[in-house]
Amino acid sequence: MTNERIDLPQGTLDLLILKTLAVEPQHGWAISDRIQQISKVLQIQQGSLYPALHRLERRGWIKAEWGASENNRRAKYYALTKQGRKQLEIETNAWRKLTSAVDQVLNMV
Amino acid sequence: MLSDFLYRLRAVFKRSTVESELHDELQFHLERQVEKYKAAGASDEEARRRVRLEFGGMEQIKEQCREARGTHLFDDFRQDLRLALRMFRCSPGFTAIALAALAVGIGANTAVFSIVNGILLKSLPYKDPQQLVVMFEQLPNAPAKFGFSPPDFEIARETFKSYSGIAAYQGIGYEVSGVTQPMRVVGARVTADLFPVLGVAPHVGRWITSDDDKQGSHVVVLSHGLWARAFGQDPSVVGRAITLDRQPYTVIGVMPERFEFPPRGAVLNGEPAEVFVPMSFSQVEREGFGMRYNTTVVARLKPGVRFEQARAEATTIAQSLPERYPPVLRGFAGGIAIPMNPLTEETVGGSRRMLLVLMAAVAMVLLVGCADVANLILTQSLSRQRDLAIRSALGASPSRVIRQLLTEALMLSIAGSALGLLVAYSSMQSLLYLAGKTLPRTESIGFDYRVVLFTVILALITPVLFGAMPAIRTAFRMDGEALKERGRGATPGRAHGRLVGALVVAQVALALMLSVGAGLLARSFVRLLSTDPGFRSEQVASITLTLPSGRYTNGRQVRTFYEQAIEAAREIPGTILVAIGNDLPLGVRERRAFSSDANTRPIPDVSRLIAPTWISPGYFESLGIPLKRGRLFTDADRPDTPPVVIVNQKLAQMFWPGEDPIGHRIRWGIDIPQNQSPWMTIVGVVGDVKQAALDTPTLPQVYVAVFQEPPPMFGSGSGLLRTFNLIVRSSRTSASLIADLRGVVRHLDPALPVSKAQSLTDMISDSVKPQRFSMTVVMLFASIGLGLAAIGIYGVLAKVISQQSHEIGVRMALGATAGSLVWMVLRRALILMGIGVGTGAAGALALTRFMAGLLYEIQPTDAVTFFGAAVSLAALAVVVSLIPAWRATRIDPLIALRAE
Repeated sequence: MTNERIDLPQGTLDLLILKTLAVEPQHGWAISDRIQQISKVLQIQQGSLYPALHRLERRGWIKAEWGASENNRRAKYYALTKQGRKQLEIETNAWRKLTSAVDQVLNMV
Repeated sequence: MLSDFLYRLRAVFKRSTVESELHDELQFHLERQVEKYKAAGASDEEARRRVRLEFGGMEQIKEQCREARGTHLFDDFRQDLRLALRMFRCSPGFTAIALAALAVGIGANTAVFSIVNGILLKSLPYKDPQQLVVMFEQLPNAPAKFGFSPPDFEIARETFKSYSGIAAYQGIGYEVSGVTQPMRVVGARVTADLFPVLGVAPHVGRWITSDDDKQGSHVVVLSHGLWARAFGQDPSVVGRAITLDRQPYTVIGVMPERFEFPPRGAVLNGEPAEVFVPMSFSQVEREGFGMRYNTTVVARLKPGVRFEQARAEATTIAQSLPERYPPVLRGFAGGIAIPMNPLTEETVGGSRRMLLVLMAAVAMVLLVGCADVANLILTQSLSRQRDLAIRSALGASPSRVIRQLLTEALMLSIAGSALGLLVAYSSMQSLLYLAGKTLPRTESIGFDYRVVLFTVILALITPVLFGAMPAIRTAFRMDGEALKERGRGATPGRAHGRLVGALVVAQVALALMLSVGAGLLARSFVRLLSTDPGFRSEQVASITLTLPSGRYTNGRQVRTFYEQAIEAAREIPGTILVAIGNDLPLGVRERRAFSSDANTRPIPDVSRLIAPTWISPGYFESLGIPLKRGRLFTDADRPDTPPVVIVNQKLAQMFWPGEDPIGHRIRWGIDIPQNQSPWMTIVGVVGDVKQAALDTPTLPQVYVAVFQEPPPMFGSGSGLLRTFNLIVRSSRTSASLIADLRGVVRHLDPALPVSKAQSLTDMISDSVKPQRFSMTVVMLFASIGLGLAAIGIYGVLAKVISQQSHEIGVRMALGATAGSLVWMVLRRALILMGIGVGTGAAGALALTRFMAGLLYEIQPTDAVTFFGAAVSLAALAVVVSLIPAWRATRIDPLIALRAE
């Protein structure tokens, strides 16, 4: 199992968080759970999610609000801002360009 | 950007909320994960263990989150602030001295800057003032520039192409009455285009039109100040009547509050006017080629035209001027030049040098103060070295320690600046009072955003000056060595001593430069005051009167008034002599072209302009001006006797060197056949007097017997003889005499205002006001600088003694005498002093030459001043080192050693 898991490249966590929040506002645990579910191979230490969330909030790409969770507990929900949506688009494009370029190089031989 | 800022702000100010929210958030995550594993069948304990492993260190995550919020800088700052406040509380003496030094330094800088700001930096209160220029005419060989003559102005107005507008004005005194107590005010005759050229609209009403100018209408525009004084700012003033020189005028407008014209400080016509009337040149003025060069021309450059282009045009026009003059005057007009100056330069140029010297002096005061504070911090840091070493051993990086020390410095400077603003604000009024009318544009001096900005900049720069070096030194001294070495009582290390020494040297050097500057100005001032003015001022008083044309319509009335005034003044108890004169020494304004029977001989470089003065018999005796040859005027010199004049020695030597001038003749006007002026015979030669100021060279001067002039002369349109000074030499003091002189005037014409009443001693003292101002202020700064330097030297030596008490104790135990201990302390002080004096003297040599323009008969390198400053500084240093030296001898070796 450990063999199949890969470490996240620098900065990719931000992109994953933004993408996850593009669907609907979520609290931290749900974001982490969602990322794990969708991609079993990504190795994320759960704690590292929070500094990233705080950084994104400072930049104004996501905003936080306290709300009630599914089991009626107080939880901090994060939602994408307008600026964040734009940033998601920019980063997605950049990621696509990068991976396709790397693919091209790898497919050359 | 903004949201980022708000986010950080919240993180800083709602710290506890943010912290507990962070805790809740992470806790929520952990519990959800635990629930998840328990739902999958794990035991509670097993689930919690797995979650902790997966999640990572709680405190570490929290710290990372804090960093992500970007607030650790703020947190550190709060900590530094707390440490600094604790430090200040623990050493109130240190804090008080540091604050006082900074408050004085920054306060003095702020005060001087607010003057510089008002005069040099703020633009003149006109539209686009950088486009405004003033033009003059320079007559051949004349020592100073003149205004335009009316015909030359009209030629200029139609020929110049560089300007969008060109206007003229003349300063002229008026008696204002009818709406207020009669008073003399400064007025201006102006052409209609003056206000459009300046680009300033009246506050109320309208300005003078070209129709007013052409028709010679009796209309007047008031300054805001006069409007307030005479009409209580009544907005319905337009159309009201006001009496000028006892003639009715109609008020048509009021200028805005900040408007001031002509600007004070200009060389000619430089007194702000309170009433503006149409110029309305008379036919005689308009055709008066070669006369009345007293109109100043102000013009606005067309957009895109540079000053140099306009100047080139002026040169061309000056060259073509003779073509427009009557044929007989062409030779004379050939030498006329048209110099010009930007209006701003003309206004403030004369005071720039003095202001820059003040600024430099006050900056040095601040540097001395900063060195004081730096020294205090350094000595302070010696006793804190162990503190700081422990902090650094516990993990504080050097940059962290530097930041802490700089925060302390910043807090000191901010508090010092706040106090400094108070110092500046409260000293401003006395500074301006001291300056009197010697500075231009005093109305624009005050506290504005630029002054506050300047203080803020000082508050930010000074901590770097006094805090950075000690902070860096301290921070990098904090290796383990510091802990070991800095045992109690050990003599401070060599490097520390060098730094402290360097600061003392810098202080001494700066203090020396300040003392040299102050000494030069003081010596120059003494020289100035000891200059012989050529007359005796003691127990002489004078009052100045102008007889308004509306009441004294013809020359006979004017002359009669003079005779009655002299008669009445003779009746005042204590009177010794009475005389009148249209000008007094130090205030001879008139310049006239003249020719003499010596003109047949070529006299190189001699001005054809002289200073004429109309006087009554008794003038020279009253003023104590000595007769050198011939005779003085008497009552026998009457209109029906041959015209006679008295000349000064300067004129006699210039035109008849080695010859007796008595019997030679002169006349007004230049030497052309058409000159109709009568010849006047020289009957006497008197001593030279200073005509403009004590530091200006004497001009050739001619005295005319006023009562020999035919009566029409007194009432002439030029108004020359309508203004006169009633001079009384008395056995009484001037103050009580002046009251009696006023009584004489009240008796003769109750409505006649006295424009000036003064003792001649005051007149001399007023004439040196500019020099007194710069001298007083620089001396004040120098003494503050010296005081601060003395504190610095004393503080350093005292601290050194107390830190060396162990060493001194050992020396005493080994048999050192008191004398050798005193010498040990003094020697150190004297070495530092010597290096400082050397450096300061070199610096002063380099800097004082910029003061040359402010000095009178003193070289900027004056050896006496340099020597005197060095000696007094050395004396000061010895005096302040004696106290710590004496204290060193009182150290009890037993106590000093036992303290170990």
